[in-house]
Amino acid sequence: MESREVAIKLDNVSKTFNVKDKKANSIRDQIFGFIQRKEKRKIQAVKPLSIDIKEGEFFGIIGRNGSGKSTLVNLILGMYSPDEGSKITIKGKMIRLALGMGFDNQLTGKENIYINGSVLGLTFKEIDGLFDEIIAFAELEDFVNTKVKFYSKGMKSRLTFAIAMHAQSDIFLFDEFFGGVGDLIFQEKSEKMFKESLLKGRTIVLVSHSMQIIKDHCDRVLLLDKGNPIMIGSPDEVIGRYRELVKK
Amino acid sequence: MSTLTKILKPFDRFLPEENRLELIWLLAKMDFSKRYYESILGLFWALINPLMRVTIYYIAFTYLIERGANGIDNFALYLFSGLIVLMFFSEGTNKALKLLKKNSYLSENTQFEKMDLFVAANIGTTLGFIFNLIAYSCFALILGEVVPPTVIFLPVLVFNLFLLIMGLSLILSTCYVFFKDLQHIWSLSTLVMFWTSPIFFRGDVIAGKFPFIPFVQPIYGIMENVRAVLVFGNMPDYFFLAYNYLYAFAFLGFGLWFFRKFEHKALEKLV
Repeated sequence: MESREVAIKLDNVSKTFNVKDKKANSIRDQIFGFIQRKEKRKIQAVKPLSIDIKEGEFFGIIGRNGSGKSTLVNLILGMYSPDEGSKITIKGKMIRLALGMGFDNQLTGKENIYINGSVLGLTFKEIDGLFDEIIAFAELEDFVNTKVKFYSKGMKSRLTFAIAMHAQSDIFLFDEFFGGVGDLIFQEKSEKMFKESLLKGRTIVLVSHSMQIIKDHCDRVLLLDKGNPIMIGSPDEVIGRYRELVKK
Repeated sequence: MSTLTKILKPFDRFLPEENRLELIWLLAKMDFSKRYYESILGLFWALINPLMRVTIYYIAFTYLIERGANGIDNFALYLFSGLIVLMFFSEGTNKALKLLKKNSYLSENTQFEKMDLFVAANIGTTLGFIFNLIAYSCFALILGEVVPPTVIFLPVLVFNLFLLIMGLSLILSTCYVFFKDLQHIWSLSTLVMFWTSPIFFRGDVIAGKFPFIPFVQPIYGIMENVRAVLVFGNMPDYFFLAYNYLYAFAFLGFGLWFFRKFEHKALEKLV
């Protein structure tokens, strides 16, 4: 395999949360919190981790609930700022796909396609060109001008998937996205899309509990446990290790 | 498609085919149309709202409170012009409070310049102001008055307001993520601003009682100047023009710094 460039470079990345047992949301709470100086607990949700994810790689992340998978995705996406000393370098445009997210419910499907496409770096002209394809793929021909709040969960995730597939995003972060996307027929279609066009040079990070999906697609897999990176390796190895870990 | 999107459609062609500008324009349009989306009368509200308000205040101040007009010429237009400036300010800043939260559906899933949200929201508010200006012009025509030529200075004043609201928005929106009660504090502040602005009274009456107000209250000077060029056909007061620009730039500078410093913490709290 030719040497490819690194798309996501994590260098000694960690994330610590200061957990207060009661959330201070008002000025009064903040002042009292300051006077009483309650001890904050520090929880390191992701322990120091270095990985290079290459362009075009299909990278899986597995682990039990609360093992820091989503925190890691949020770090990559830039929603969380990492601890000091961490370095994250990203090459390219990113989108996260999670169920039922990414839409303004007050706006129509059409308007949301334009906003999302635009955020992903497409010009209006490009979106005009892709529009029919997106709608057809998401099977939403009859709901183009319907507000997204009337969409079902399945419709929303189909639309998210369709937009993401057609946009020129370089990096896709799938956060527990599969397993809920539409019915069997749509799942087959997505699978096909996945294999045919997505794998062409796009970088994919997949967080999933479905070992089947991980096994079928991933080049490498990272196993997290309570924030600790346990191992990185081929799907079979890592899934085997994960099974042992769960048994204990 | 809403009526508004149709009305604004022709303007799309003036837009250079540049992704970031397109996004801002799109968000601005959506911001404006969402406000009147749900209602049957739709966009009509944008015109009716200020008209109704002026009528109510006019009746209250000329009939209920005697000598309320204080010998102001064209009291109805005086009220109207002051009111739309205040509405611009209070709509812009109150909307800003929840801006980061409302748009978390975008920031949670993609990366883009969050500052664009603020620019877009403020353009949306400015569109609202333009509609109010149209309502004002119609109202003036009905009263047999014409908008004077000095109105060409108006964009300079509107831009001043835009910068001021932009600066405040950056601060308010970031703070709101941490202090939810800012909402109540800000609505009270807007009320204070309402009564310290020369909306019902002549500016010199307020300034006579409290000489510091024109310098402290951020929209006092702008309101006086808007009225000078829009209602009375006078030149704007150059001292206040300069002062208010400085005032706005100070807020904008601080706002930008503040937002850059706390943006990440705020976004983290929104997840």
